[in-house]
Amino acid sequence: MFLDRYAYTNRLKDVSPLIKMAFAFLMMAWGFAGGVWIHALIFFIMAIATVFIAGIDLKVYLGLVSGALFFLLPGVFVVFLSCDSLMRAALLFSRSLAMVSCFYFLCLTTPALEVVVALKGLGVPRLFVELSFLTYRQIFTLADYAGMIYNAQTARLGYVSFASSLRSTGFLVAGLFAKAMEGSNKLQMALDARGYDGGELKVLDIRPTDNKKENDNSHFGNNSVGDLFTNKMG
Amino acid sequence: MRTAILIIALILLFFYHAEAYAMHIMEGFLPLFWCLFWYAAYIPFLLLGLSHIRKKIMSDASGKVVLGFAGAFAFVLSALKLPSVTGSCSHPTGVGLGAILFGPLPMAVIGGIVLLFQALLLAHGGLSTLGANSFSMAVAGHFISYWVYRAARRAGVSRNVSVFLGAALGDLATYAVTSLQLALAFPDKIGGFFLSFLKFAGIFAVTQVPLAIAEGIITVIVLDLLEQRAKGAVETLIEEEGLR
Repeated sequence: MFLDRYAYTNRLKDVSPLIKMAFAFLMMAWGFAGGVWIHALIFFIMAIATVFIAGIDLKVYLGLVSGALFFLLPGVFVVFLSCDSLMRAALLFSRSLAMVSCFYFLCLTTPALEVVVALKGLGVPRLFVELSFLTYRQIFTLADYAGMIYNAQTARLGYVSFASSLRSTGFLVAGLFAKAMEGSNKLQMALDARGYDGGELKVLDIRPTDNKKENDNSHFGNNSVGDLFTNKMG
Repeated sequence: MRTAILIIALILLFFYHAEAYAMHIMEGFLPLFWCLFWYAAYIPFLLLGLSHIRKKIMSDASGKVVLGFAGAFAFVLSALKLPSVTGSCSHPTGVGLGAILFGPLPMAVIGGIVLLFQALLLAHGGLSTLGANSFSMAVAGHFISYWVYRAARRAGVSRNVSVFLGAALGDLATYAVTSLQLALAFPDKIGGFFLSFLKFAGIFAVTQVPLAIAEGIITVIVLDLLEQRAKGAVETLIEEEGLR
């Protein structure tokens, strides 16, 4: 479900996120300026970079691109109907495809968290980055929990009819909310126990490849907040 | 005439299945000018929301952590499948619930974060269109939800009906603004902006009106359950927003 799986395992994972972001965004900027042939070239370059250089499975990539086409084709068709200009619709189609290829390159090669951390250096308010960081850490635990509730409900025919689907979704969301609040209380307690005063959350900017080394150190009293986030809900 | 009907039916069928993608404007669909325009429209709300959160956090040390969880909650919610009368499924926007529980200003920030992660983790929406999507969902959706809910409460409408109206209209507002954004970027050659808006809104309406109703019902159920079961956890939040 999450593209982060590829972002953490591809061959470009050790390249600095800033370089990958700069590459993707420059190509996007070029895409805004160029015509159909430039769009085709951008798509070609990005597809090669994603599949052959980063080593993303071709099937996964094609699946994503066809998913984009699925929305793009009717969208372009509607624009064609209202503008009545084939040239304009074709340009929109090629531009979207070119931009999507840049976007996919970034999604598939750079973990979301690294993009967020890189944003901090680009003048995005620190509070926004911190909230993103907190959000990111909890997405996976809550998604897991939602999946478990969903399976349990399906096993009990919770989604067998429309009315019961509505009810079950209500139960799921309410359960999830209670779980989120519980998790937030637990994290708050853990932070309080370590003297957190509501100010900046101090975390180590560790790259995934350094994790092993950091974890070895953490047994000797190096209790970073980052460890807390990863271990707390387990 | 027959072919025209056939084509329209095909388009509707396409949209009917592409609902999951129709939630946000995809990457590269908007011209550069409109991308920048909607970023510029969203940023003031983001900054207002951040300063609102900062003030809130000053008074309560746990505010930041709660908001982090709220963000994750909103993300997972938007990844859920929503049952729909038509048999297809789409994703709830969660705007009604978020606006009623946390208020529109913090949700303007959280909504932006959720959309950023939807782009990066699920490849939904896009980065150049992030400003436009944030404006339609995180700003318009939450504010309309909140205002409708408050207005209904003040007018003496019962709580459940107000929640339903807030959630359903907030959902529809999101799609109305998305149609507006598309219409502004691609005005009709003959009828201009307005005709184009009607076209986009008409296509969205086919799928979105039933979904908005479903989301409204679910939001009522959720708030009802929360009041019964998670009373301690949500009590303060709900009281702050004047739910009782």
